[in-house]
Amino acid sequence: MKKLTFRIFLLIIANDLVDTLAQLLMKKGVLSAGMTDIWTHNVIEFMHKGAVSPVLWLGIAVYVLNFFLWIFILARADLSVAMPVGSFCYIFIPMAAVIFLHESVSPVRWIGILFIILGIHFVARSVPAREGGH
Amino acid sequence: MIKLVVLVLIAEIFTALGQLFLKKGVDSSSFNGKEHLNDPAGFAWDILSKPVIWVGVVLMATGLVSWLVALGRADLNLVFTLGSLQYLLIMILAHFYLGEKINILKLTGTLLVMAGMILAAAG
Repeated sequence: MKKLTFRIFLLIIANDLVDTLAQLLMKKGVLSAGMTDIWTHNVIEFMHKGAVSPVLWLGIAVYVLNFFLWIFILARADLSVAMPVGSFCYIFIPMAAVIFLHESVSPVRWIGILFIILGIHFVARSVPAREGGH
Repeated sequence: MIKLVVLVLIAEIFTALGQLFLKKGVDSSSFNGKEHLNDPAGFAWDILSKPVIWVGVVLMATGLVSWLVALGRADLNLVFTLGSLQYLLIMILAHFYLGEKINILKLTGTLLVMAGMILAAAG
């Protein structure tokens, strides 16, 4: 069981912010392809259209950056702790979706987000927080 | 709707397995403790030279393609909230294959996060 230091906690939040940026860019990129019903019959067409979307490629580049950040986190934290604690992106993404994509978030969804915050708190407390703690 | 659920489930399963392989790879690195923060390039190079990492990357890339296709089909929020199963999957896989302990706090917290996702999806 690896401890969850404040430094690693901050690194996970930074990872979530980068993840939010990647998801926003990818969503923008997919939207710019102008296809709403992508499935096996037109996935090649989508990949072709996606390939010419610089925003999608920017999103993928940020996703790769996110990957390396995640590797550093995995080196210092348990996977089953880093994953739920990393769900801050579920709070950042709806906020960003409201601001930048003009999507709507209902009160029930905000309650769900409160549950997630509470859950993150519990998981973060399930492992020692300091060097040498138990 | 069924298609979307299938797409997200494929994305979740491949991503969960990918994460497991990534963690295995990172744990097998000779860069233990704090050294990896002092030599990030060396650590990144060491990681990228491991086949198990690339298995993880291929699994995650497959998950990502499925994810991207799902993103084109619905609200970003809905696609994301369907992903709650991943937490359960990761916790169980990490317990059996990485020996990470499940205690009552971790279980409660993980279930709360998932309940939050389901509530968010219902909204």
